[in-house]
This record gives sequence, structure tokens and C-alpha cells, in this order.
Amino acid sequence: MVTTEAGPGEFGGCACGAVRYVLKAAPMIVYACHCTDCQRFTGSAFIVSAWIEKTEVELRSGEMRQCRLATGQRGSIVHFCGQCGTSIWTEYSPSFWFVRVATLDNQTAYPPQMHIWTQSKLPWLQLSDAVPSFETYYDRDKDWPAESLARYHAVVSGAVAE
Amino acid sequence: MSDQVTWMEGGCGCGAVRYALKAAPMIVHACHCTDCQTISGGAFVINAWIERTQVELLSGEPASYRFADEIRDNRVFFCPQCGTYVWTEYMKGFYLVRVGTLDDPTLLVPDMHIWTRSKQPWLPLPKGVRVFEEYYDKDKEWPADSLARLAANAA
Repeated sequence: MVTTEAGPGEFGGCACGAVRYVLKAAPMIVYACHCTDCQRFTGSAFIVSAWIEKTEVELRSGEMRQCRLATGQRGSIVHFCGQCGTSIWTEYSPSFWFVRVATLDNQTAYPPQMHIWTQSKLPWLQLSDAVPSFETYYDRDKDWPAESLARYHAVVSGAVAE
Repeated sequence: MSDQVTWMEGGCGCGAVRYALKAAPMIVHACHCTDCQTISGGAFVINAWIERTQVELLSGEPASYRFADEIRDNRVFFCPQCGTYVWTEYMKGFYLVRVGTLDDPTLLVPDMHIWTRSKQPWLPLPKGVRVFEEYYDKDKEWPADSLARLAANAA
């Protein structure tokens, strides 16, 4: 796209092009969430979210608006392009973004590693058995790769400067 | 499709925008095009094609933005407060309403899956459903009464 966007990482942005960002690392975990909130925010059957440290995400251009929502355990803050409305990421936890994988230029970069909240999955939708599905949430210690758990704990313990 | 249900309420994520559909839609698409992936944040969008006159805004005032370039010409409508897209105008006189924003998104099941050439590789499609790699021929695929509604309301 834009020639100034050289460098490592996965680039992404909104539908009008105003917001551009780069992920400087692979996400810790990617999941498809079928909860009723995610259905509403996407207007679809589920969201595909990439959980990643805020320090690994760099906003390159654009102005985002944000809105605090009564979703998740402690509420959440959704960030969207102020011009075209495309939602880019959501904060459910202060040090992490949940980036919408579909806003990456390479939309097949990160397939979901699990499906969660399938108790509210749309009835007509079929899922493959290739990755685990959880009716509600899951056990992070059991279901995340060790390396991702280490990254998570490094941030929440304060070992990584925010 | 639930032809019996003719009043379906929905709204955005923060609750500012609320609307009602006053009729069953003419057709329901699951669209797997790359744009619909970007602007949904999921693998596809579910759109209910319906006359604008059958969409009643109950509260809030959606903001809008027009995508106009060599491949796109449409206007998206979203809650200015929380960003949730509620519908898109691809053709004058009609909205494509996002089924996921209905209070009960199970009410409307996609009649067909379109632009599946860019479908996410990991996603299976329901067996027996109509699937089109790109777009399709309305005259062949739509029910007669939906075609009549299209003709009656086209600007």
C-alpha cells in the first residue's frame, strides 16, 4: 500500500485508509468469539480477535474515537476510525489490545486458535474440529501455548515496561 | 427464513442507535468479500436486504461515510458514539442491515453465501446452502415476491 510502510510486522488499517497500524509481533492468542456482544459489534456471527501487548502495536496514522462499553468482566473500550467507523481494536485489559484480525492487510495471517462462547453460536453456523471450541470461556493456563503465557505474565507482573 | 416475523428490533453496541425492521427482508446474504471482512472484524458479514421504508429508526442518529473508489460505491451507517455499523446503502431505496445487530440475530439465516473466493480458508460453509464464488443473478436466485419488491422500490 503506502511505501513508507516498510519494515517487519503485519500492517493493517480501516476501510477508508485513514487509520494504519502495524503489529510488531505475532499475537499471543487468536480466537473467534461467538458471544452476543461480539455478534452485535461485527454485525455478523463472531469476531476474530488477536490478543497482543499494546507495546507490540504501533498506530502509524489516523485518528480513532473510543467508546466505553459494558462488556467483558470489567467493561471494555472499543477504538474505531473517526472517519469511516471501522473498529480496529478493543481494550479489555489495560496493557493489551484485542486487534480485529480482519483489519490486517493479510486477512489470512492469523486463523483462530480457538472458538469461545459457542453457547451463543448462530445455530446455522458450522465449525470445524481443527481447533478447540469452548461453550463459555476457557482456562488460560491450560489452553494457551507456554510462550504466550510467559508473555502474558511478563506484562501483568510488570516485568515489561508499559 | 422466518417469514412470520415482521417486527425485529436491533441496535448498536452502546445502545444509542435503536431500530426496527417492519418486514421480513427480501434476501439475506453472508458476504465473504475482503471489504466485508475488514468492516465487520469477523470472517464475513450477514446482511439483510430490505426497503429503507421498512427500517424505522427508534433512537439515535447513525453517522455515515461513503466509500467511493474504483471498486466501491456505497455508504456505511454507524453509531457515532460506539462505531457499530448498523446498515449500508449499496442501492438507493434499500439498506443492507447487519443481522448481527438484531436483538435476536438467530431470526435471519443467510439464504446464500457470496464472494466465497475470498472466504477464510479455515471456515467451513453449511452443507446444502447456496454458494457463489462472486456475485449471482438476482432474477434466477431471488423469490418472485422479493424481485417484485425490488422492482417496486428501485429509485
